Amino acid sequence: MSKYSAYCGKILRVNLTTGAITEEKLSDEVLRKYVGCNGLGAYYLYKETEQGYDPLGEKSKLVFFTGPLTGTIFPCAPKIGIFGKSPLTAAFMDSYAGGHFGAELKFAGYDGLIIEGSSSKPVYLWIDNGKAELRDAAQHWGRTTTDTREAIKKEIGDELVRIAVIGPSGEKKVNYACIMVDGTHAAGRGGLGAVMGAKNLKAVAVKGTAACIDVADQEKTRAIVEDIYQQIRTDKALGETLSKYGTTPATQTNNATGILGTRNWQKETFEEADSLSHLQMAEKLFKKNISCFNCPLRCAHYCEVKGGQYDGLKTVKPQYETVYSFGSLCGIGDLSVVAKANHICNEYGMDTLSAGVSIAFIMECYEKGLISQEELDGIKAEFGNAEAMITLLEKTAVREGIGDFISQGTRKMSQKIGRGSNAFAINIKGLELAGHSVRGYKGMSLGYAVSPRGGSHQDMRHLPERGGAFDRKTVEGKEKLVKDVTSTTVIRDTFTYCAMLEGNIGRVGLTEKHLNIINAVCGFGFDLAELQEVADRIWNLERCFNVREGLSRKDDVLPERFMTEPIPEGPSQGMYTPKEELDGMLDKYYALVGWDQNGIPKKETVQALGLDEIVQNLK
Amino acid sequence: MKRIIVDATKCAGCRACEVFCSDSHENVVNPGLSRITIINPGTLEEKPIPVVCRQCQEPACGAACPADALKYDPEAQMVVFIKENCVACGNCADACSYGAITLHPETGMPIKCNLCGGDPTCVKHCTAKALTYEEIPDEVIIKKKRFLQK
Repeated sequence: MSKYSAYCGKILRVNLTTGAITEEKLSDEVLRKYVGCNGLGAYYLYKETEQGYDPLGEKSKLVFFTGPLTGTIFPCAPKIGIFGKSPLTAAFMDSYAGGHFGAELKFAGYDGLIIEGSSSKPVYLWIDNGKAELRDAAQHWGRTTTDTREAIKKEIGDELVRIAVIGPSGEKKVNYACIMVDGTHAAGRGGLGAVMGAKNLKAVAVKGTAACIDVADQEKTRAIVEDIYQQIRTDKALGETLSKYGTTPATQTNNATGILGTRNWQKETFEEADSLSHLQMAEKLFKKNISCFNCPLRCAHYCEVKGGQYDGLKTVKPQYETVYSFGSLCGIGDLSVVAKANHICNEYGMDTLSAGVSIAFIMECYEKGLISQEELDGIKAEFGNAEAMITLLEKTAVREGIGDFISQGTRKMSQKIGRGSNAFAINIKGLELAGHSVRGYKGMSLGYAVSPRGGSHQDMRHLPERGGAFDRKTVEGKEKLVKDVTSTTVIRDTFTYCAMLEGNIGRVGLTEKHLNIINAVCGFGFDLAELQEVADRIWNLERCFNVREGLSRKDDVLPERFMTEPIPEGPSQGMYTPKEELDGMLDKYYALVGWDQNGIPKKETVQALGLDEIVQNLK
Repeated sequence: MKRIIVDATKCAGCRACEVFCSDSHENVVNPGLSRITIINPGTLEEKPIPVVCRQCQEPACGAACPADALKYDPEAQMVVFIKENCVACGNCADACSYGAITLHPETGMPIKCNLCGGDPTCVKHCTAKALTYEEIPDEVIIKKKRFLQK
């Protein structure tokens, strides 16, 4: 048992090469320094891997961590974080999924898992209340995610087990294969599903009913939780909009602001945005709310497609990012097609963002004559051609024909195509861009550039600028904004509450709210300076992982399109972030966070955060 | 008399009911210690069903109890559990055709809803309103009325 509350105090280490499964204690000292999910994931991944290792090789590790809030009465904190080196970016990757898996793992007695080595044949890990075993998965290899889950439930004889699983795309190591969690949720980003596939690990199934999760200060925790419930009951955005529409109101909001990625970001308004609206989705797709563990927001939706080409399809309703990637970005205004594309990604196990952006890239290459119909297996990959998009996606999912090429992602594709295609390969550090404009927010320009993951909207957040609290058109003070926002997102992913609760807890800078939560739940007795140090430690450790892999200032860069082409139309017309402007922001940001002008954390920064024990190659 | 009424069509399967029940009665969170349980057999978790004691006036659990530890109390208007009488045989859990009685993993005694003294915490935390606490002569009549409103 840990001296801090809300933890199980132990993790499970699974060596797939030898088949050895062992339990390890989490030390109190490590908990105090890294606190939870994001922190512990970064700590173990850095500490236990070597510079330059192959993410799909024998030495690769895959780390799963829950956070301290998961499994307590604290609402909207169900996340499981998965950590590894990305085959897409060759850098640090953390990807989070909701659902019930994280809580179930804690009730089974474990805060996290470390998966190492690789199995000679397909296996799955079965964790049953403090016992664990590897089981043969030969019969499940090749199955879709839903078919695998259903088959494993049958095999175990319990339909209530929680399962994280890869589909055929993970098995075939599509560079952006995801890990599906509980059927409705995905640890989508960065290709960690391919890492799992390379290990021959088809799934992790968990049953947890034994462990009891306590908190340090029950009365304070209850009071904090009741405050959040009170807000959920009275706040329209939290209490009503999310349950009705999920994150999809962003489609029209972004279009109205002129920052909706359209036709591979050639434009930032989409003439068919209204047909992709949240209202249309509610009418044509919504069937029923689905919820993550202990989350009263119910933003996930079971979907039955009404009308269109895929009428009757029963699936999970897409959220905003997918409406962007398969909708406006590919020039598609038909929701049934977006739902079908989302369904293919869920069932084969691919990130909807990277998949959509990769296809949009191919479409632009085709329209510019850089890739021929013949090279595309006869497919006319024009923007707006729904049939072409679906066919390309199906081929990508199993790396068939041209799909093998698309499965590498935009960075590698553009390197092979050449002829200037790099300018519109929409990735940062190799990770395809989420549905939030780079050019339309100066803070996002800087935030995306310094994100350890690359094109993720979950490190820097767009909301403080979109909401108008900060002027999106000015570079002034954006270094401070990025530092303050990323401190909260690191802490969010470390405590593991959902991004949907950011508005309640605070988006810009750590506050007493963050502090009160962690002290009430775990009993650390932190002050605000110590909590800030935790955030800085984790952020710097992720940076150090990337520095160890050879990344530096040269990689803190934006797709050329966003640095040279102003937004051509709409309410944000003329906005872009020239390289000089980005460089100016980078200089200020590096100085603020204690990194040198090449973007490398300074020795004194690393030492002050107590990272010198594990960080190698300090200069 | 008041009852917890379940409308499974509104339930999103979040299990906040289990979490708050366990926290309030057992001072820790563990769904296995909750008086209410969500069963969710849907392929995409789209079919959650809350299962909780119906406070039967002629309870099968009481009839199966050899020790007079469970019985309908007309004054409290619910099935009450008398811990002192319980011999932890588990017959009550077998007898309840709704599966609404869970046995405590350590004591073997029934974990059974007592309506939180008239302010059920599961109902308070069900933002989907799949659980309501209602004054009713007959649960079936409430459900029939709801059906007509749909």
